[in-house]
Amino acid sequence: MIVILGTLDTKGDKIAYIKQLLEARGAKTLVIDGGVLGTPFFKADIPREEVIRSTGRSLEEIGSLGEEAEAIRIMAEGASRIVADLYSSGELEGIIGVGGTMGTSLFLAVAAVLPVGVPKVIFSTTAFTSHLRPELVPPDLIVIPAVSDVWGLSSLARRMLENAAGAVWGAARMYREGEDLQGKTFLGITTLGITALRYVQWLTPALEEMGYQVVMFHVGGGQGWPFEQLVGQGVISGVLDLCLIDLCPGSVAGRGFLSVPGRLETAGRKGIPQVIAPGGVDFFTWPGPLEAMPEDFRGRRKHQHNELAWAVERSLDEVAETAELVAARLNRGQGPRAIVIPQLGFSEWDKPGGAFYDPERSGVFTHALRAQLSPEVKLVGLKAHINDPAFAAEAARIFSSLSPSQ
Amino acid sequence: MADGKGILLIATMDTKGVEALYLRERIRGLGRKPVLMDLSMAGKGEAQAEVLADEVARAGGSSLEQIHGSRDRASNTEVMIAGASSIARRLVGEGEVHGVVSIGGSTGSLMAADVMRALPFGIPKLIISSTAALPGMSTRYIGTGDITLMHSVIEVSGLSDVLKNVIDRAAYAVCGMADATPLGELKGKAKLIALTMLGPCEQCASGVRKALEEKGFQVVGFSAAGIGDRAMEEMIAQGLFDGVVDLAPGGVLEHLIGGMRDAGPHRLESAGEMGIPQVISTCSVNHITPPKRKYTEDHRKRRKYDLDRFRTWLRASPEELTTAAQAFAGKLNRAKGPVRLVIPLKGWSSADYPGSETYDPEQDLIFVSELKRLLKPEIEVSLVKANMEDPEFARAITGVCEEVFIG
Repeated sequence: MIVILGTLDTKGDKIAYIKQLLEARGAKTLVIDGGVLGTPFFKADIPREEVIRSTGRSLEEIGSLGEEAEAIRIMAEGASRIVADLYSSGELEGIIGVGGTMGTSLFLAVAAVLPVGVPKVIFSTTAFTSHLRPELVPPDLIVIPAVSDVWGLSSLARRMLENAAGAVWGAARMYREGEDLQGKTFLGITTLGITALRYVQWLTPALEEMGYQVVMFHVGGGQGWPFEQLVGQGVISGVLDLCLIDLCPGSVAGRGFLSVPGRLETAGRKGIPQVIAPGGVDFFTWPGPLEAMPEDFRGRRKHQHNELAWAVERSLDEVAETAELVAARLNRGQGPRAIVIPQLGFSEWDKPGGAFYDPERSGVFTHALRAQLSPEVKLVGLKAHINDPAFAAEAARIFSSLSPSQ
Repeated sequence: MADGKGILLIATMDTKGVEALYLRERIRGLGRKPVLMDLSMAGKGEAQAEVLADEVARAGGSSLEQIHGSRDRASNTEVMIAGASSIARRLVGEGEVHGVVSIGGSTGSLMAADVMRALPFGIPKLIISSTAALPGMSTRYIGTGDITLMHSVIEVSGLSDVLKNVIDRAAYAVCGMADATPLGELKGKAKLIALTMLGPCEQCASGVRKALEEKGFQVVGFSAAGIGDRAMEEMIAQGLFDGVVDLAPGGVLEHLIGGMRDAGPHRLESAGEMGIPQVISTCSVNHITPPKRKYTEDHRKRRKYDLDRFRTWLRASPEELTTAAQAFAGKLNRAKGPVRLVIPLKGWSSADYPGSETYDPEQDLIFVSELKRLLKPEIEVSLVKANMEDPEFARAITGVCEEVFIG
């Protein structure tokens, strides 16, 4: 069964059309109404009253809230429960949402209860905007932008909806027929593209030899979010979190640099084995044009990563602040934890002659870290560069010493 | 699903070869005919692709050999995109391909997005990208195209079970999209009219829409905040519309002064190039929206209107109104089809009401007289003694629409 979620007061005609398309192809559908304003376009399989009731509230209570955002939060809570139940009963094969600003945030909240692998498609008028905040986006989301502010069902709107229905129909068929990820676990490695950090080439075979299946997260491309999400879902059973460029100290976070607020927290909460290293802590990533970078950073050493991003040097103060953040987050966690410091440099650019080389950096990091790190966390200093094979070998060795044998 | 419809698969085989070949197998397994196009710029390319990297480079006016010999990465990328776009357009035009999918990291996704944007609206386009989560990235990938974006969960590097799961789902999804509807039926019987609008001309937009729908037109609305109206220009250029009601062409001046609603250099041009009738008004043409962090001393002194907490409209200066009129006239004089302007004399939006700080109908006339002076004589300018949001102004627009759309 494919769940169709949306607000039947504002997007009712589009939802009806998707339902019709899916049913014409033989799919079973279930429409959940998350609307709270006007009259529903048609009666949903799960009408709004039922969504609200599942949260223990009444329609009147919602009506008297007077605040749309709060109403949507309650609708999301109710719809999430219903969707989670459908998933546990094994009936759900996919979910599609239709939304403007409110409908999209409703959908993202509900889709978050479904593990990776369950088809999730959103047809959204806000796909172009910053409403799709990365921390709210499920790691395997399929986003279909609504190109025009569609009024009613013009033939253009129909074509977009047909594509959306086709995508969720196909993905649901795969979910039914194909292999899923249930019960499988993986080791997660964080890294950057092969220019900046190179340990993966030695680390992956070493870990595979130990019997693990390894998956990589390119945190420079924003995969710190899916990394934390997959650890949270239990799909990742151990981490080698060796690249922390998206861990920004308070003085820098919120200024537009790549920064993932919950980094380095989930694995400790789950208590799974983790090996940490300060890969890439010599710089920040600026995911935009140079002209838009805050002025106080523009005078620093920097270089262009690729078409999409700039790297700009992390000051020694910020390196120390980052170390304190690492210590605080690791201290809060549980489970076997170790941190390895490659003393000869944190990235390919942190080498003599490199754009960000600074021989003091690893000392500053280590000093600040040691001052605060709990003795529960093993600290290993290694006289090697992060891109030396010796670093990869040591990381693999420490990981195997932390984790129960395979 | 087994009718052998073609699916174009775009990848750089030098870096994502294993993953692309796996995706091709899956598409084939679903009874489709995959056409793998290789955009590699390093290495010798992949002999297994249906469209080789060298063919792509040649279609772009170069060759793989030349690309290897050049260090100008930007121009190499341009060549590959141009070549791939022309091949893709041909395959779609000949009916060989009914959907397009790409897999890659940031560079591959950007190239694939450019190729997809060169293809007609409506044909399924799916990008599987590992950097989709980067803030604002979806905008930079898809721009204004109708491109579906699928987050790859992990780095596209090696065939782990996680990545296979992602690729499987993408294969099924793009095949599911490809047999959504037979192509070529996009245009229904009713004439399609594109309409631009902003919040401050909502009443007018809604009145015009209702009236046109009663006359049997289909009306597609676009928000004129920069992205929506840019998308509209692209869709007009693809021949999707029979007419345009451009209530809010402020993007023209915004482009010239670097405002937030900049709709690119080609705003107000596609309808003229296509020769379809256009009815134009002036909502927001007398306001500019430079980013606040770039305000100059002059901007800070301007009369302003706060649209909401985040957006402020500044009154355009007389010089800017003149510049805008010149840009309008330059673009509209080249139009191959009928053009009509309908301009309200008592304020150009709900922000321009008597008592509002930016209300200045006299200054608005600077634009009107300069425009009339420069426009070629067959373009008629009608002036209406009303505000943009008065019902009689919507009626005036509708009346002109009936004349030019029905003839």
